[in-house]
Amino acid sequence: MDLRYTKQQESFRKEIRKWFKSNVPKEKLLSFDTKEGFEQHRNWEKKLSEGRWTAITWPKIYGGRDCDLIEWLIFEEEYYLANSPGRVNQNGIFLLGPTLIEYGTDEQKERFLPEMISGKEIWSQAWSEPNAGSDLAALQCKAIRKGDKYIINGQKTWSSRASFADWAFGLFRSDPNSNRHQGLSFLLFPLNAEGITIRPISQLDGEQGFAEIFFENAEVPVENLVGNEGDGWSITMATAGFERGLMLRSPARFQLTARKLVNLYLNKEKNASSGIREKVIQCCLDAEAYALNTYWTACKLIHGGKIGFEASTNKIFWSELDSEMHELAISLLEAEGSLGINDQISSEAVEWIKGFLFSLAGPIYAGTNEIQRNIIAERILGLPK
Amino acid sequence: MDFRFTEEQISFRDSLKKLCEETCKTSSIRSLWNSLERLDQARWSKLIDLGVVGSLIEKDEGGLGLTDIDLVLMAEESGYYALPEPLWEVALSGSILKYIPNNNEENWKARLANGDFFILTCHEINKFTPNADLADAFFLQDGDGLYFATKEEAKIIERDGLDPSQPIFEIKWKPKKSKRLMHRSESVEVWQEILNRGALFTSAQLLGLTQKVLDLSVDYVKSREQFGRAIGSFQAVKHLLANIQVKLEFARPVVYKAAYSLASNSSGRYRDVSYAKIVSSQVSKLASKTAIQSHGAIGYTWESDLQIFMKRIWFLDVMWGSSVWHLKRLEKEILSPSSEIGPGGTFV
Ligand SMILES: Cc1cc2nc3c(=O)[nH]c(=O)nc-3n(C[C@H](O)[C@H](O)[C@H](O)COP(=O)(O)OP(=O)(O)OC[C@H]3O[C@@H](n4cnc5c(N)ncnc54)[C@H](O)[C@@H]3O)c2cc1C
Repeated sequence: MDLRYTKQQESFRKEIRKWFKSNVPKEKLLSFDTKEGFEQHRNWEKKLSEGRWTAITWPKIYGGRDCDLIEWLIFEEEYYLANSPGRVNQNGIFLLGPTLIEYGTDEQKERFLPEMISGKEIWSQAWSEPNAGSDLAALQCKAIRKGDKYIINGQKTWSSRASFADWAFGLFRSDPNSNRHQGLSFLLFPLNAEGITIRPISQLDGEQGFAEIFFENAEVPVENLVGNEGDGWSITMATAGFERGLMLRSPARFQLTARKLVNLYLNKEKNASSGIREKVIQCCLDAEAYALNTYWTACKLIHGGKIGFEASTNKIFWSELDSEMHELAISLLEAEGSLGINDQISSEAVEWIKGFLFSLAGPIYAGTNEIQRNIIAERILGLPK
Repeated sequence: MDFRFTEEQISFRDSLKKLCEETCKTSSIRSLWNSLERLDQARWSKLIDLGVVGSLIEKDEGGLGLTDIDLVLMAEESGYYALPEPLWEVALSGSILKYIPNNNEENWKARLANGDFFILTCHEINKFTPNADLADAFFLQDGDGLYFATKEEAKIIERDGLDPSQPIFEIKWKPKKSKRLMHRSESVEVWQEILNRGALFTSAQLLGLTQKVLDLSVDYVKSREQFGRAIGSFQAVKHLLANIQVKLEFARPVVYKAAYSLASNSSGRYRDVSYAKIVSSQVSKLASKTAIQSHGAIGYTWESDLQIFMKRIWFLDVMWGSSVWHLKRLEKEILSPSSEIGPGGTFV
């Protein structure tokens, strides 16, 4: 065990810090769930790619840097420390990218990865349907092969970023007579294709963060099938593993929230109720525990280990921590009356309120926490169905 | 940056596991409760052979010269079996020998390393000293320094305790100037180091104990049937147990990092040890509550082995600083504008 960064890691950190210092936009970008903000964030992705910072863990030939997970953690720490904008293309970079690198054909990698890296194509994911949420295997949206095309009919919903994005990846029933996990295929499709209609859905904060997708004889070429026809479920599970697991929620994000929470607490201490102090400390400890656990797992993975159902424990931990931190922030702001609708509401308060709303979705998306607990109980602890 | 244990450290742990598996069954723990014997001699001599007792004593003083990183997995394992012998307390006393001048006439330094002389450290953070009746001597602290006292020079009074495997004692003693080992100016830091190390070993044992009560509960709910099916198939039961799994997975690296910080004498070791004690106390207490709930009434009996592990948890929870004490110790460090909380602050 040696918990010191190497010289190379330290100098990598410096390199990142320097680049971000001079490249992070001075003005805070608008929300990427607005048309204008979406384009601002697309430009940010482009800028990142110019510095070769979009997907540092990807192989160099696809525009990455071949970085290992420790370097990735360092990168994320610096990314958040620099108050950089959110990642509008995270579905692509962190979920589809690794999936294509593992399961895609050479043609698919060449076709999609460069456009993803440059921000030219922003991705959304299309798993859920009105009647297939937690029970994803109940999905009904069909993609039936006809010659060299798949013909898609049906509906997807809750597709994040789809209101403004360019492409989506999703899971479809390619065998109409199949059941549950069988007969599903993983397809890539452009959101502006003929026969596809996007209907944005306003979220709790009023912005169009996700959308419904309707398919009416939409045609997708067979080249857009990832893996074999009928193997969609296992590929989707691999993608979901990336989502619940290490990459999507880096510890730095929660450590930054914890830092801000401490600062907020120090400002509002006088008015804070007595139980809050301990809870704030606890959140800081939990954010540290999350970071330590991630470093721990990263070291294991670097040396050939695998991440299994721990991805589910991860998802529960970060989503509950995030929710707790934002609840505390709201109580602290409330104690000062800064939550009221008035024109003096600080930008800091607005950020906490938005964060609070979004933190409520954490235990729902990427598989609800109840489903994660089922997985932990059945797959890790071995309890009966 | 490498957060892994070495193969050697893992195999050291495995040898303790094997020893406990063979010699520390719950029946053996229970038999000591009703016996005049205070130690399982056979088990104890095997533990001595393993070298843990002298593990923290420097090599040139007759010990193994190991570090906290080498021992933390073993401490965790000993918790899993609720090992009753004061292995870690004795090892702990060994860790400060290097600071103590070599002028002791009884030659107890060498004997401590051999395991035929028990020294327990009576730290005022603990309201009482467990297993004091087994000790040959004590390290004690008085206003002006660190002292040594043989069992003849100290009076021990047994008090009622919760864990039948860990009798507790109050120590009454008058400092004798001739027995002062270190002046206060030197002993303060040594005394703090003892506290940190005691808290670390306790945290590690709590992890092992948590795993144990979780395993016992999982086994039980798989086999117990109600309403025609295993109670472990009910989600209300599953989710309680899943919560422990989550918290345990996130507590382990915190404790391992604390071991690293102590071993490398890092400036963050106070903070890291306090983290470790807080999280391990929390998860273990929640685990015992969950265990008893998922067992139903059988968990509330003397007959159930659950009590062996739960009582050790409640006992260790207050040793070497309760969560409240540790929280107080680090709150100033966390709640400050210059605290290291934040991205990039984990390993500074
Ligand atoms: C902000 C946000 C973004 C999202 N983005 C996307 C996206 O980009 N792409 C996409 O495809 N989907 C997305 N989703 C959808 C998300 O994956 C689903 O909401 C989620 O899988 C739950 O499905 P549901 O909403 O139908 O709830 P339901 O499945 O109806 O669940 C409702 C409640 O019942 C509980 N429940 C259901 N089944 C069980 C069970 N077996 N045991 C115990 N409890 C159970 C759930 O835990 C939950 O509490 C997003 C959701 C949100 C909130």
